[in-house]
Amino acid sequence: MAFDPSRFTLSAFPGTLIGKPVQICTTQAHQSKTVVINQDWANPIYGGNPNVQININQGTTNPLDKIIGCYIDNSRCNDDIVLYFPDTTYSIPVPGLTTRFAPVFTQTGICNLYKPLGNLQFPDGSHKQTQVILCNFLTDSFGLDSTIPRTVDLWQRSEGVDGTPDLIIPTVGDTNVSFILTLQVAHGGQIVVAPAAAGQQFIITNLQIAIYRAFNTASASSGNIGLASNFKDVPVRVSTNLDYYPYTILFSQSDEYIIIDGTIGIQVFNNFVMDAGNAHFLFDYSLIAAQ
Amino acid sequence: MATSFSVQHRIFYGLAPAIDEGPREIIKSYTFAAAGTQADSLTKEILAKELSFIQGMYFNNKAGGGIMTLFSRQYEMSIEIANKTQGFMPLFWGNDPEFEVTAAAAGTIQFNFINVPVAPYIWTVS
Repeated sequence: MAFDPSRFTLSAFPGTLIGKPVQICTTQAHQSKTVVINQDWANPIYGGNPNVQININQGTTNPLDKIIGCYIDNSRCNDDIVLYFPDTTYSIPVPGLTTRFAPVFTQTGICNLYKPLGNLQFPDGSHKQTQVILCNFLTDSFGLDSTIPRTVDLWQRSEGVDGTPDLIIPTVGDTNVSFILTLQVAHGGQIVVAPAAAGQQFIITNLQIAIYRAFNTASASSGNIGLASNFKDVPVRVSTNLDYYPYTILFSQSDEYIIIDGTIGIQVFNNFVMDAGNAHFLFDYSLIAAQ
Repeated sequence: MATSFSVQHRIFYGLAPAIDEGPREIIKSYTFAAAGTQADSLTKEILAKELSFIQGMYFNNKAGGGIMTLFSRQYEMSIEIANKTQGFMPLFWGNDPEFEVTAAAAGTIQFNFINVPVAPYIWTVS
């Protein structure tokens, strides 16, 4: 079935598009050109609506005369995206963390780029990005296999990780931990959840943070609670402003992964003082060795 | 930073010719002792009239220790090449190709830049 775009609204792509002459398939009668669209899914200019419409005939310097092919690099986004051509309803789905070439069926210079599912950022706050290169020459249809091992670039890693990127294969966690933690720590306090030896890292594939049966008797009732990395950083943090939590899921994530360098801890801070209460953390994690 | 790299020029036969010259290639090889990035250009080779422009490449990362990325800053095309793979890729480059080779780990990769377009294809080498 064709992709159904009716449930999405669109924003105009805000960037400046430039047609770049290239040599591939250029002949004496035809100048090959490309237009590069770098889509930042978490760009605040979109106002919470990241799906964009791209018109190569508006605001474009040296625009393409036609769109016949494209190259889509979705390797910096782990969610599936769709490039959709409204005049023919032709859609090109691209899985997360893959790239592909595709021919294009359209008569216009208009296409829409959608990311139907998933967050707009990685857990460390870096933005997910997708690149679309539209071409006025024919490209083959070819997708790079998503199962090839991937590097984890620094931008995908928690801020507490130092050093050069390591080669790892993201795995489904082989250890599941569900536990109850009683928080009786003051501002800035940390509790060790899972200790690690030197040089060891955890990769967390599923994470849920919930608090229940907690109440706050301190005058300040707002603050943050987060997952701490080796007592250095808090790559995952959620804000709370309630005085009483019957059972509140503060954070839930299952489609991404987080790498913690060293000991996993939980930290409360920013005037979030809990005199008594319980936090419920769910983890799927694997212990990996830094390379 | 690559610890060493080499370049060769060859004329080869059998593929469709480009506009006004026969099919030719420039072979470049990069060896990395650790993760790093090597900036390079084909301007010198193109000026030497070995060939006029680049339309595609054959790559060989079968001896590599990690993933290699070929990135053209001017034309903004990035191709990530998995370890132990070979293949063909079209390149959307102009006539002044400057690029960067980034290695995720120690290893060697070879690029055969060619002046004819190729269909993308990748295979794994065990």
